[in-house]
Amino acid sequence: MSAPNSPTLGLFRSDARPGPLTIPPPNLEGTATATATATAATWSDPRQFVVGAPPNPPSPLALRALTSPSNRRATLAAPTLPLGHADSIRKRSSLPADIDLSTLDYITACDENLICPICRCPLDKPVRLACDHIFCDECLNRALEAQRNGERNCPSCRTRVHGWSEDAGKQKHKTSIPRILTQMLDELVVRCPNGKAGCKWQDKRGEVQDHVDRYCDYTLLACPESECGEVVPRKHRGKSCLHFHTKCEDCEQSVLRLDLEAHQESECPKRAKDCSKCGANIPVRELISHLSSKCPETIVSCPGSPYGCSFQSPHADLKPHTKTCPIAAMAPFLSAQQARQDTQEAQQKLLQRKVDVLEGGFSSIQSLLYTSDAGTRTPTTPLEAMSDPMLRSGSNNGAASASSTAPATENPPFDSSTEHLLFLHDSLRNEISRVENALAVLDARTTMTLLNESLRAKEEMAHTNAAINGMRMQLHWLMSARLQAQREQSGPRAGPSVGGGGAGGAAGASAPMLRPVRRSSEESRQKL
Amino acid sequence: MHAHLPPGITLVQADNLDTWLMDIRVLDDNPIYRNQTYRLKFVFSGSYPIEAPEVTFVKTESHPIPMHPHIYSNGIICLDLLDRQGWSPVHNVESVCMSLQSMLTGNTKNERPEGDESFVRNNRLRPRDVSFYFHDNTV
Repeated sequence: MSAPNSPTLGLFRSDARPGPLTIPPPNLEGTATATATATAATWSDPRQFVVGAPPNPPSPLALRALTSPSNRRATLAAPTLPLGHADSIRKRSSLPADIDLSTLDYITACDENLICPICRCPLDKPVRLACDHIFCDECLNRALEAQRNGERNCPSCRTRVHGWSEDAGKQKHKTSIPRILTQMLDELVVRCPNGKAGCKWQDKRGEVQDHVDRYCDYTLLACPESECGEVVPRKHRGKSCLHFHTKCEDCEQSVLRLDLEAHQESECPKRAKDCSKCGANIPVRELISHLSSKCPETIVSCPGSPYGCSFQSPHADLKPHTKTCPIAAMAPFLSAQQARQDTQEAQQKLLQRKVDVLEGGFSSIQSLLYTSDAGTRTPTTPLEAMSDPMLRSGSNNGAASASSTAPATENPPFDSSTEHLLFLHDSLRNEISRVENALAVLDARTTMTLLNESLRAKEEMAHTNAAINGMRMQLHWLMSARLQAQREQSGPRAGPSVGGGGAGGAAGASAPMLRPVRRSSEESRQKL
Repeated sequence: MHAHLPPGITLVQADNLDTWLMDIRVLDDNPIYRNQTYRLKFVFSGSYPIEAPEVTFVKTESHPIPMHPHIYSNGIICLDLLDRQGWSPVHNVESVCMSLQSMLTGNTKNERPEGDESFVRNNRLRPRDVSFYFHDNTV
């Protein structure tokens, strides 16, 4: 175990402390709970233990099943599982069980080669496949079980595994590993799994089972009073049943006899003890804090120790030192500085992130501006592409010079994008004014042409009017001449009648001698 | 912790045993992945390492989804190693990261898988339930 928290993902290993096991295989857990509840019914009934031969004593087989490897995970998980009270008691009293070696706290570093590649813990009951790969027996079984397509392959090299069977008794695929490896594994130093309860034992892994089973004072065993059904640590087993309430002689509080010692040691508010160092009588509740900071005999270090002062002395002697120690004098200031620096660093990190985000945005804008390589002479932006035809039309109209259109297309690689943007803006503004001018010119020109056109039309209309007038005059004259002629032809007969005969005769006198007719008409007028 | 990781792989977050975040970088000068860091999300099921973790790329402001003919634009990776059949309990986060690193390094095609758009739009399955058809043995 070269690196206990290396990210090689020993999920099992990260769990390798006695405690809730988060990863029990679902199928195993299921069966374990089933057997647990089945046997719990018989175990929790105290009457069955009173007389020698209870009707349904737990058979040795059942006991073995309880301590089987598949069950031990459920056993360890018991404190967190929402089981009934009777269940949990049964579980605790069923200890000692096989210890799950992967949950142990290893003190010696384990060689990487002795670590199971599946659970990433030091190998537990190692077995070897024909391809020479070694795994924990249980890990290998679970891995092979999970392979679904009928064929079983080595998890490491995918070589076909022959002889595997779900029934552990019929398995022929594995061979034992060399004894030297087993010895190396058994010599790893571990802590007692009851370490949390207070056991300080640590020794070779090969002996941990023996220690827990026989010697560990903190192994929970069934209470000697068989009616009780509770559990006690081994160290209290010699006494009679301690599961009754009693009163603490100091504080009058009711506590369980089993917990009385612990109560008097550290909890009782009335009980006081002499400090082992300074001899002062201190309430037991405050003893720990007293020893760590207040006791004048406790060795404490100078307040300037984080900043370099190595002075250490009993609490009582520290004051004279702090008066002279320059670092101690500076300590409050230094720590304030440190705090300020920390907050500033945090702020700087925040700002850095903001800057990163802004820079990202900026660079994306930049990349939008320079979509293609700066070297190409094509319009670099959609904006420019749009403005280009306008530029050209502007210069065609002659309304503005083409001087400003040239740089827009000829030197696109600007120093900065802002410059480029500003330039773009400028040229667009020029464009707009040029277009405005052109519009004005066009406007004037169209008005002029319109005016000209209409004048000419008016003149023509006057001409036509005059011509029409002339024609009318002529027509008038012709009509009157004809009338005159008719009157003269039909003179005596019809008199002044101008009826249908006149109209009929008009065709006959279509080519008259104008002069005489006119004269005649004048004559007739004179007659009249 | 970082000292043990191979180059180009960094642990970002491993607060719990359910989800880990890793950053990977392609080490050689592959123009498709130059100067980019990709973020991987590992989701572990209760039966890890017997069962494969769910590994996907995640898109953040500074971490795009890498272009690869076997990586969909929603971050789902089509790699036999991460599938039920191809997984082996001896793999771990480090080895998966390295496999993905080499998968990117060896790639020359700057493209998404066929049918990427429709898959991204229609897929509601979790990556491990998507049944991929592994046809390309060149990666």
